[in-house]
Amino acid sequence: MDQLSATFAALADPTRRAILARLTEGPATVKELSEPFDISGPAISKHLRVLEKAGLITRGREAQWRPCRLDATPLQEVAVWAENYRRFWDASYARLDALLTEMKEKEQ
Amino acid sequence: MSTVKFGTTVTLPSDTEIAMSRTFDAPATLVWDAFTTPSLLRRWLLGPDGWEMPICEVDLRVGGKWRYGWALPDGSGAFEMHGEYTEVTPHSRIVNTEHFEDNPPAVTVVEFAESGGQTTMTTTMRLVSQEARDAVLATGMSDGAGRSYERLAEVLAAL
Repeated sequence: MDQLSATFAALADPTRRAILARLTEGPATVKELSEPFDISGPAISKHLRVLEKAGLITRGREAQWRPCRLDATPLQEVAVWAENYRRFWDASYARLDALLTEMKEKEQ
Repeated sequence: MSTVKFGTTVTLPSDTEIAMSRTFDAPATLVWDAFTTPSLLRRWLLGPDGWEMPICEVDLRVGGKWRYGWALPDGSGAFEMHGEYTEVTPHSRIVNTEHFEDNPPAVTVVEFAESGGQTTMTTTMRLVSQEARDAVLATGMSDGAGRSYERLAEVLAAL
């Protein structure tokens, strides 16, 4: 899987997006991250492994609590892709406006 | 004659759908023609300046196939999407399947609603699951998402 696909796959889950949203406020431990969710510690750890594999978070080496940190680098690639998508439709629709004006004038 | 400009709005009608809506200052018959005639599609469905649409195949009937392909003039950056029409109601509604690279497959409904000489074209993508829908959303289909990393972080924080 390429980086962009891995990022999309990681972002596709609402729990993982909530974890990332929490990490935009600063580093957190697994215990802190699991508090808002009604799911088990192992389930949270599984989500964290997906995020870590996608390069969206890094984890500290401290054996006891291993804080998680957001790594924004893959999100920048998503942002570039999304910006291209938005530009595609904005530019296309602006051109369609002009074409329709021309078509209306021809009809009259 | 001046051209009226309208904004594009994005809504989430259900857990598995994304809808994009845009109004045009023209009757539905003209918007329909511009949307279904290859020689006209090639003039507007181009994205940013500089792109061309070397592939534009429209077999507009139930069971007919469509295929769009874009590239820069030197042939680089090429990408394409394709699918099959499952419903064609002239000047009103088109339903088709859509396959685009690694995206989950989607069913797209395009509706043309005319009112007072203006036409609102609503494109609704239906994905196979909420997870698939959210994956497409994460790519920034929602209005303005992903303008910058900061903006994306705001979106994530609001989820």
